[in-house]
Amino acid sequence: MPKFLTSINAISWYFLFPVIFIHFFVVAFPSILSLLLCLTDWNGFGRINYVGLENFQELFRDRVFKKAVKHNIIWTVMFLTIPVIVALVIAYLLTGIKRGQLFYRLVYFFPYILASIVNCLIWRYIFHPRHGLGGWFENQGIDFLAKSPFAMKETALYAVAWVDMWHFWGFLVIIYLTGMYQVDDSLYEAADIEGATKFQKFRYITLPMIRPIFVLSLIIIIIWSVPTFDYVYILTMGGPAYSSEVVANHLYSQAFQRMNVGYASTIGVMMFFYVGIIVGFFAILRRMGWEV
Amino acid sequence: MVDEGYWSGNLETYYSLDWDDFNNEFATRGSAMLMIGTWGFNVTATNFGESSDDWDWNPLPILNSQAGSAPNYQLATGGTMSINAASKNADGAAKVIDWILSDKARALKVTGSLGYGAWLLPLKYTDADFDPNIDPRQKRFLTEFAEASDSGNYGYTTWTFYPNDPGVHIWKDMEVVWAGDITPLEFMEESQRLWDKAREDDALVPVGKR
Repeated sequence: MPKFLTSINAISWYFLFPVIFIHFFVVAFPSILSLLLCLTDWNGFGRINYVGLENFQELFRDRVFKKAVKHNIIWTVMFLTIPVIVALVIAYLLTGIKRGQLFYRLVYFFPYILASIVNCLIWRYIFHPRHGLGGWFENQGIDFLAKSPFAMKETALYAVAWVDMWHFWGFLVIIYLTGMYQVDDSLYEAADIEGATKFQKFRYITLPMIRPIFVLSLIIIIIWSVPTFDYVYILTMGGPAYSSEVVANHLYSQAFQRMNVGYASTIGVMMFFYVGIIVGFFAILRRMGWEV
Repeated sequence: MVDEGYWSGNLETYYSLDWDDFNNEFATRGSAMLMIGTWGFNVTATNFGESSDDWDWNPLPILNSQAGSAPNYQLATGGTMSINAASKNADGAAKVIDWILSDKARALKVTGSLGYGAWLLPLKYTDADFDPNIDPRQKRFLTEFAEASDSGNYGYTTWTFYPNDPGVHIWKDMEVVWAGDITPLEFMEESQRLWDKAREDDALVPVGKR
């Protein structure tokens, strides 16, 4: 057997091959197909007609798409602030707990390991106007939570985001905590000698030292916010009246309900470019010497 | 009617409830009526159970005065008995369909096996055709439905022959009208645009001749 077939490099490729093979058919091939289908009016099973950039023109006129993009931006901003701040504070406080810390870590992380359908059903039940808190308050003669926040167009998006954040923030706690444990204790000891307060130690030692992990978490949030789908689909299906519609949900509806597969591919391509821009932006920052 | 709170008290609660809730509300005086197809007969009968309340059914009234006052039945066709064009034994398949449909009693037996809630064929039944244990409300449906459809007083639900895009639009975008984000006229204009596009794309599903 030729030597290059048994070299370490070749063996690495043998192990990688199954993953690459599956990835090609499950991810790469459909993605490439989407790039082509976005220029067609394919409905998923009929004839494929080339329509040029018609789908893109339609997309910029699409009222629901514009609304969905706006919701994705709101979603991203919410996830970049609320769970990040809460997770940072809780992780920092946890570093000071010596006994029972594992218990808190488990409790905070628990929603993250639950399936999205379970999380959603729990919260939908809690806010159910008949069987949940609303019904209970009604029985006590109190008019509170009589309407589910998932069913009001003013609150639907925020209510869904709340459930997803409840599930997600425990994950951030764990990765921030991991970063904080890697900070050299001598820095804190020096700060103690200098009389630094807990906040000053957090601001001037912890935060700068965990910056790579912190920035990574922000990148993850920004990228994961783009295809966010499951919580919206399960809890509201983008409604009522598209008040919680996000881009991935709109794509699903176009592809599998309205059977506008060509148009849905156009939405997918736009999402792809948006993620590409974000990744490119952070790649540039890294080249400029940022620790990201 | 939905945005006015005739169902579930208000629009938001209507969005929050599922079919179990709707059925339960109907059976417990929470709502005055339940808009559902014949597949709801059995669930309704079960939910009322031993209650002293009773229930009955009526076809949806026709709101267009030009269409007359005769009741109109909406056929919610969710499946067909068809023969595949590539079938190796098309004649044999046709014989099976003929065998099932040529005998009224046999067809009724199939309907009965589905609780008289589905597979309802508009055949001219008489009282003598039915099992004495059949719910009289279901029996009345089968006989009156056959008469109405024989007179051409029937239509179809949106999911039977609507093309995908106008079909989704009519139920999904109705929420936008209820929310007050668009006017009914804008809703109808969008519906027209989607129908025109479906026609242009040759996406209309052929409707059977009356």
